[in-house]
Amino acid sequence: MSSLRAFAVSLCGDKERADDLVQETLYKAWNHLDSFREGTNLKAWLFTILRNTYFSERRKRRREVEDADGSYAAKLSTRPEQDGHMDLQDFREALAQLPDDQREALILVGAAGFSYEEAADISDCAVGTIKSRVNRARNRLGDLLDTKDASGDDSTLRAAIASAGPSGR
Amino acid sequence: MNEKEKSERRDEKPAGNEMDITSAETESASHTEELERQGMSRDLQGHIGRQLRASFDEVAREPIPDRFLQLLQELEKNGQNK
Repeated sequence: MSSLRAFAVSLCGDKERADDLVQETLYKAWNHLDSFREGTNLKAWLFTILRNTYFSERRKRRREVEDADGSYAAKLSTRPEQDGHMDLQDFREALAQLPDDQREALILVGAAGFSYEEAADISDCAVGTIKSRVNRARNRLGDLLDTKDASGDDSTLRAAIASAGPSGR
Repeated sequence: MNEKEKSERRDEKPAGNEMDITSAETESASHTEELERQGMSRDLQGHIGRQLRASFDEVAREPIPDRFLQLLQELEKNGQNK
């Protein structure tokens, strides 16, 4: 349960929205208990419902505000939603810059403790796809954080993020 | 995920799954080497891994909001009764 909530926060970068997601996930799970197969992994099942809910809302929202260029993610990352340690703030901003599918794969495998196979089941894709998303996510984060560390100056990270993002914002 | 869940997970999979587990571990080692070839230092990889878990765990350690607890208890109870 606590890791489901942590997954939601990591995914959408906004605690309030994350808690709404968790609540919706629990209600959906409650209403669809008959589709849960006994003896299977309850945690993975809940994670699947949550990410499906998140991505379908995301698609809806994207159509509404024509957000295909990722400006929504950029906006999220600059909002001071996280009240955690400052040293994690830069990391979270970098994480929010990743494409949704890469961020999801990295969190499932790198933080939530799922195997590549389980993450592939949750994301409904091939194991190779998960591996490649995790790989790209790490490389992109490495670029973002490396720039930051080398300069020690926050503005450099922002500049790097801005130049790596889509033009015309 | 606890060991019980892991073993349940394995049980539902078709035969030959033991191979997957072995190859997943090997995969992880070669993955590190692959990233290193691409110019990412072990330090930076470790840094990303630690930050990722720290960020996740910080939220995971927070108390679960009350509104979820009751809902979850009912969910688990019914899951067991099925």
